[in-house]
Amino acid sequence: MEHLRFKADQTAAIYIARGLDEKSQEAFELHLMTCGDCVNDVEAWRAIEQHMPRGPRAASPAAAPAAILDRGLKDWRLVASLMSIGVLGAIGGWYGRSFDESINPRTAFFNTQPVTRGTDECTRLKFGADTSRVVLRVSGVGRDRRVLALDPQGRELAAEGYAAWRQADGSWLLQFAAAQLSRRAIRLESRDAGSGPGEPLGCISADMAPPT
Amino acid sequence: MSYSDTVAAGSAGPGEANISLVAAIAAKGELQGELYIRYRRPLMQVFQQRRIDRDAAQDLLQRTFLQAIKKIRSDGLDDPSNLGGYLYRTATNLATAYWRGELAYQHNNDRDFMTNLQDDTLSLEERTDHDLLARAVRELIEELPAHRDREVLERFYLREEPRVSICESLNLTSLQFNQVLWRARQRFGEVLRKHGLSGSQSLAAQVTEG
Repeated sequence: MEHLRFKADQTAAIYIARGLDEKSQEAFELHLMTCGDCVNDVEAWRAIEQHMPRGPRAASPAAAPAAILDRGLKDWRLVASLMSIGVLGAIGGWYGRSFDESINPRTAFFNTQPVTRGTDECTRLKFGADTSRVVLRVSGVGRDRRVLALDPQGRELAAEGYAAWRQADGSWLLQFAAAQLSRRAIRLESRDAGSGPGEPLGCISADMAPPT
Repeated sequence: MSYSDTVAAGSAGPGEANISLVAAIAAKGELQGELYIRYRRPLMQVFQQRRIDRDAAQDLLQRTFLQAIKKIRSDGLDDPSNLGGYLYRTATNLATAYWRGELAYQHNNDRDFMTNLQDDTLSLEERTDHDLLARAVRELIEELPAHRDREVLERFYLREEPRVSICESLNLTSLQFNQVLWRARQRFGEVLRKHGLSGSQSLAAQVTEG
């Protein structure tokens, strides 16, 4: 019965898109332990998800920054190297309601989905030495979870060190003082409202360019 | 015995099959390798879902099996019929420890499993050439009959839009959304079969039956 429900609900496809809540994901993963059919489905969907063409299908010159954002969701290293202060102005309207007065010309913006690398391989965010603030967009976080920034020992950063808030589209914005990132690596983690285990989202650190 | 056979046998009575397997492992019997055949692929998905790259996942997979074997041979399992559940919990705990930086990366010294690897224990991604798989997915996207189907997949997987918002903007019911996914999965099975990809026959067959 459970298998038929998973098949009918296209659970494998939704699992790969990270659209299941924590409880549903656990139930489905436990089912995978005994269901070769569903494992085949999951592998097929993962192949589709990983190899889906990321070409500039709908990109027009005017929409270039938004298009870069869209297709760049899967490769934050690329986007991180492209997204910087200049782009921020172009997408200001997109995030305008969230940023309000906090936008300033010394803010560097990075866009990412939760990273796919180990904590010992921190993704280095490139920004200029005159950058005062770094804003990171994280998508793909479950609706019932919040994103935290932790120091290397796993302690949450002090409230004055960063701010995090959810946007209307479900993604999260994290804002750091650039100095925070220059001192140490920062780990990202999502947690639910209860005492459940956190889901690691990766690690970031600074790669500051010398002043020009 | 292949992965499909093993799982099929397990589905007839997974609890009993697990009890036999646990007993064989405890006795260091011949069936020990079956542990790997039966659980490697689902556990790899569990690790990949937690955004752990393949090399690290391999390492964690070995740790999962070794931990389970040690446990079975020392204390035994409280409920041998739930071997899959025990492996799952072990794997998720190891994944969390990995991301918290609590595990030192190590190369597995127990090569028994690796040297006895069978094709059936490899995932689609592992047993298929990367470029060929990418070509098959491109073909799938290009050949989807309706533009709307392509849009659904792109928005769902590339832009990570929630299902609800995609349904609302395209005026789709939940059932219609699932039908789009079903059609895509079916078509992908056909594309794989057309390319003669290893394992695609069983995939396509399952899709047809599904």
